[in-house]
Amino acid sequence: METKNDLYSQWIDNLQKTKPRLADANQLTDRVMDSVQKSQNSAISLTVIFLRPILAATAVFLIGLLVFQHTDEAEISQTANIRYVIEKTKTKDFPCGNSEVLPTPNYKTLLKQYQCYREKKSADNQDIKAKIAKILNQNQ
Amino acid sequence: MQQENIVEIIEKIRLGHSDQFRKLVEISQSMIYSLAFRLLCDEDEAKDIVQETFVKVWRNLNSFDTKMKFSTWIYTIATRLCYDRLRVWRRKSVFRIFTTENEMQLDIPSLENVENEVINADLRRVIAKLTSGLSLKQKLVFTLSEIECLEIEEIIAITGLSAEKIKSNLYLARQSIRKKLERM
Repeated sequence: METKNDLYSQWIDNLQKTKPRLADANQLTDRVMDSVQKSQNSAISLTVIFLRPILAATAVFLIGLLVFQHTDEAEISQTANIRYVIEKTKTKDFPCGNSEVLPTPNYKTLLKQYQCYREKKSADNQDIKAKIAKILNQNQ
Repeated sequence: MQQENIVEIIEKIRLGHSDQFRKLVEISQSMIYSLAFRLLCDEDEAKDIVQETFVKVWRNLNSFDTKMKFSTWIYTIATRLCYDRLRVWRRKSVFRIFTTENEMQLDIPSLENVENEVINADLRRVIAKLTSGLSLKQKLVFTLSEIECLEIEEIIAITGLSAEKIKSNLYLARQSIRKKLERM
């Protein structure tokens, strides 16, 4: 048993004492430094590669948001203009009936407005007819 | 090199003196090469491990806790890289035969390197022969404990194995190597 142990410890002693030889230590250091430098550069390019699609997506989103906001504002101003026109036409052309501006004119109010318009026009026509008759009478 | 000096170098690197990293490589590359050579029994692979280890050290230097021993930290990185490589070899059933004929087909070394080549070749043959029948964990524990002469606490930190597992793996490795020595 002792000889077995002796042999074992002898071998282990030899293995501990005999260090692997590194002939070109400086060359290995240069190689390590080169790879460190490369890894540094590749880390930067990797960041760029990962950031690129994120930046592109953000840009597309922002452009979309701007376009959406712009059309929304245009729509609002357009609606405001229409309302203004409706209001003006209501107050000018349809003095009879309800002159207050309704936020959303429905079928009933449109019919009322039309009826009012017709009445006004028929009254106007009667006036014109009366005036024409008067002129004709004067000429005779 | 003292731990304090290494910590000082690391602090300088952290402050932006990246040229100090070369110093760190020069100080510790031989011990990593030695460990990798003893585990992989291949000079070129050992050099690759040195390279990969330092790239990892560079990338993770900011996360290194200066209260910890630098040698333990760097040994942990190198050991894991070696272990992964050994596992791949074993999975792919790569048989690495270290015979004189095999070595003869390589480049003829220059006269200055003949001694180094002979020593490395002998070492490679002996280690490969003795550890060939061991499991990966047994080989790892045997190399760290018996050849690299590390303390059990350090082996626990490096391998992540419990003290009991380390002891049992070491016992089995010793038994296997003793049997091989008897036969030799």
